[in-house]
Amino acid sequence: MIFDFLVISLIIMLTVAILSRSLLPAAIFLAFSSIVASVIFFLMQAMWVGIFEITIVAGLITVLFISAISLTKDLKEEVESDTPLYLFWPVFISFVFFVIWGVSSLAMPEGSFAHLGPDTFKQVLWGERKADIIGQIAIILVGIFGIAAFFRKPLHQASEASGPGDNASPTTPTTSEEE
Amino acid sequence: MDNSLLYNWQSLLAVGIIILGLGVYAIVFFRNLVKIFLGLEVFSKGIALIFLAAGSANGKLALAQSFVVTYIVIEAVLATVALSLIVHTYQNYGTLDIRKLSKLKG
Repeated sequence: MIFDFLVISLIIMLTVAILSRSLLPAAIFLAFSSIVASVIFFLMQAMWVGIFEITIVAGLITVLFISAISLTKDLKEEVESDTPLYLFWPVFISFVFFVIWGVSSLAMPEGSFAHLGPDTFKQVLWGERKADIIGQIAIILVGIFGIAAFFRKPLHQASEASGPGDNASPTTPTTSEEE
Repeated sequence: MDNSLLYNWQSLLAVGIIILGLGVYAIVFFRNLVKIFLGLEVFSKGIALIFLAAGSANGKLALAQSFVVTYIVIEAVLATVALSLIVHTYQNYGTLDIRKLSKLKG
């Protein structure tokens, strides 16, 4: 019963986050939905995914979202979509029924989460997928260098911002022409 | 958990596909860049659910977990880079509307 409530509240929270006209409530509802999703993952016995979801997605990405929204000063700006809202609900409800019909009509074996397999997460991650860890580290470094490249100052702005004490340096064009 | 109606991997597969649909809606029909990226985040949540449902179905939940953990790490890097690009775009052009941005020249 708790699991059903969590799954339905996850869908409702994500729908509210999508349909919210303001950006800040949308980001906060996304964070709440991440918390609910992590509880669902815990109940599915996927505890490592739950831990990563609640720390990275609900924590880090929410902070990034809110800081990006506040930096762009769009906190009170309303977001418009191309389709009107009354078109969303019929399409969404028919899509939900279509998905339920499609999944239930697939000839798949019965089963809840009984067959979890003999492997543990640690064996898989550090044994079979050790090379992927190096790839993850490379991706994190790419992200760091990418942000450093986006926000670096141009050279002329950096020399202007260095202060009046550095005016006598030979790199500034005015002083070199006067001499 | 035995009396829960949705506690099986078929239901979670359906829920994941519904969440994917919500993300696609936000990506396709919204104009604000932050909102489009929020749709991408919703999309990624659906992908995680589908991965775990598939792992439960095949009896390889540990492998599915490791894939999803990798995906979450990549998602964090993606969010950092994409949101920094969005802030950079706003600082340079003063708008986040993709229609106005597509009309800009130069």
